[in-house]
Amino acid sequence: MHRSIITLIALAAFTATGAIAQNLEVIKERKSLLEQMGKSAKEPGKMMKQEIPFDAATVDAALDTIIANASKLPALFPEDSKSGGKTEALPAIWENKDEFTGRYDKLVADAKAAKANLGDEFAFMEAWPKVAGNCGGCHKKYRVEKK
Amino acid sequence: MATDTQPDSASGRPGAPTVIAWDLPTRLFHWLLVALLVTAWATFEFSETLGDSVLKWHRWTGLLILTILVWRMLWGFFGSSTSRFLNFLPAPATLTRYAGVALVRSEAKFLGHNPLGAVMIFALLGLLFAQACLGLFTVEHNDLTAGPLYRLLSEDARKTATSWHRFLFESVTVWLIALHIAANLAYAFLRNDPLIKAMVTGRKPAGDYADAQHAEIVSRPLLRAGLLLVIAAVVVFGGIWAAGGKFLSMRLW
Repeated sequence: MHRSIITLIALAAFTATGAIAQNLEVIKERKSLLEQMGKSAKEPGKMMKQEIPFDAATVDAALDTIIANASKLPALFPEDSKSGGKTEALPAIWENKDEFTGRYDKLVADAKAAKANLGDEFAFMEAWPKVAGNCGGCHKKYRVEKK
Repeated sequence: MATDTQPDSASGRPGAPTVIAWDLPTRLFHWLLVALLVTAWATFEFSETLGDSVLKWHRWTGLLILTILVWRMLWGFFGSSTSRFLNFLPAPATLTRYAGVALVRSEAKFLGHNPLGAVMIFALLGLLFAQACLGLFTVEHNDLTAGPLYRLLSEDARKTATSWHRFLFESVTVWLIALHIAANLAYAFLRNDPLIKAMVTGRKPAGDYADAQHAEIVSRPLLRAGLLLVIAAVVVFGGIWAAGGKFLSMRLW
């Protein structure tokens, strides 16, 4: 009797730990992908503000990072990843799942279009805001407000 | 021009005399400020819809707000009597006495800003001036653009200025504006003191006002206002340029 109870408790503990471990993994991965996208946008941002000269190769690499990461992100918001792991994801994500994941599709599409139109500095200044504008739009609705 | 009582058929009482309370430049300033503030908010809030992710409209509007605020500060010394700061800066005793009485029963009527209104005006002008100045150092969320003076600050200081630019409006100024509107509505409809109409027409019913029986309008108010506006623009744009500011892509066409 006691052994079964202990077994049951041990089993429950292992299952629970297993579930929590899955959550944290997904949260960690998506945070890393998002931060990487943010980092890649730093140099193009400096080009937009004319702090550094325009460099097509850097922008191209940033766009590649965005396309790669944004393609992976829709799958990284399962139902059991709403909390923990210092996630800044707001519940609104799961309330508007389709709208949310649609934003990643748009980001990929915008980034691909920008890649195709990457000519000189003026083309860049037209194209880049269309890509980077997606960042703020999503954050406004779906990320915890940073003070 | 000083003693200017006119029968006012629009007040509902045919033949009721009115007096001049606010000069035209002051009234133009007030409503232009309202329009610009709404525009500044909307051009940020709906920048995505407007297709203006580099916030050109927002930044132009902010610079215009800053210019007319500087103008108002000048007008506070060179404008008509009811616009001059020294004429409505309330002494603490006056303020407490007015505040105590105003909330209980019909207190003395003022031609220009009453003591509580004066405090509100100083608060609003101060907050909006701070808001506009913070915008000069603010960086856009997606790093696409920034105010003309952002380079004067370190990365950390920029982040601080940026979050204050947001926070100050959302958490403080907007509530003061709401209170300002509510108070004016209350005075107009509960105390029969037509403040809002006066800020449009410039006139109030003749009466026994605590501060003055009529406003002393400066000579050639529009010319004077125009000259001070030029000075204000020079102060703002010249000041930014002199500080080493750089206007990022502001072309609207």
